[in-house]
Amino acid sequence: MEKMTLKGTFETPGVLLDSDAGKIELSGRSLPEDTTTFYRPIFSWIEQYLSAPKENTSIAIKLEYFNTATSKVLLNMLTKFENANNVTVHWFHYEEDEDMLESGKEFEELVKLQFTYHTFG
Amino acid sequence: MPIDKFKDLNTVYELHKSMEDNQIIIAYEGEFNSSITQSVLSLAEKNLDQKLEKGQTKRRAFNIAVECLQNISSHSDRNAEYPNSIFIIGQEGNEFYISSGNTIKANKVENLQRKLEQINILDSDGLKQLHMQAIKESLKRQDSNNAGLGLISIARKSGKKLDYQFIPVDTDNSFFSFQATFIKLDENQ
Repeated sequence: MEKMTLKGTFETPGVLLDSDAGKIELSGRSLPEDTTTFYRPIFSWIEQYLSAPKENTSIAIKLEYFNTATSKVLLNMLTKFENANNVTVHWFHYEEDEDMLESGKEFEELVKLQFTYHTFG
Repeated sequence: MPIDKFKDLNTVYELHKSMEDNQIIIAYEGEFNSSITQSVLSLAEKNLDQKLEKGQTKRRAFNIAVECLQNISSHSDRNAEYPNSIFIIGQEGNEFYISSGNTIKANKVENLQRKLEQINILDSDGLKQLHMQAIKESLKRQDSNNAGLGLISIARKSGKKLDYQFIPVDTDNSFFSFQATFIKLDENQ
């Protein structure tokens, strides 16, 4: 499977999708109004990955900002991993950013996945 | 036409003075589309960076600005008759306000008003529950209508009641004025 990387922009996140490492990472900010167009290729990659996932999958969410349109996308994305084995969501936030930490906890309530929390170093 | 010109130039000064007196950080009036939204947002972020230390208040302000602008932009796509909207960020001492105004179809008023009233009676726990419920429903429906979630998010970031007003402009349309305020947090705490 192709590794996929995208550089972050003012309103779209940096993306790293690495099937060999079982790693999915979003970083920076995700603010597009039209989330469908941006996230479509990412969802295609994920669907393909989930047909033959690695033994362990790590999903790192390293966002400083995301809009509510993206929160729907994130929920949808995380839900897709619920049936895969050994998936861990690594949720990053700035130390003082309690809102981002709380967002992570809310996603943890909404999906059946293991979450761990990290502060940006 | 010297008189008109004189009048216009006076208007420039009056507008400038009024914006200065009201401590306007950014104001944009005109058509909104996704590329304009992005430009306004980028400018808003630069101006907020000058006013606020990097930290929670700035992040909340930016988040509110994003949702406000995207609310306008999603509405104005559907209003060819009144394409112009307004977006303002201002400051009054430690209080910041983010305001928007756009024309919406009169038949949308009741539903929007109901959503806003529902949000305004809730405390922070209530808003969290409403958010969780709304996001779960949005996943089921897979629709693109985001206004509900956006408004809940603004209310949560603001921590204050949302201000709004509907002014009928003709039988089919109403002007929707909206304002979210927030207090600059003491980042040293």
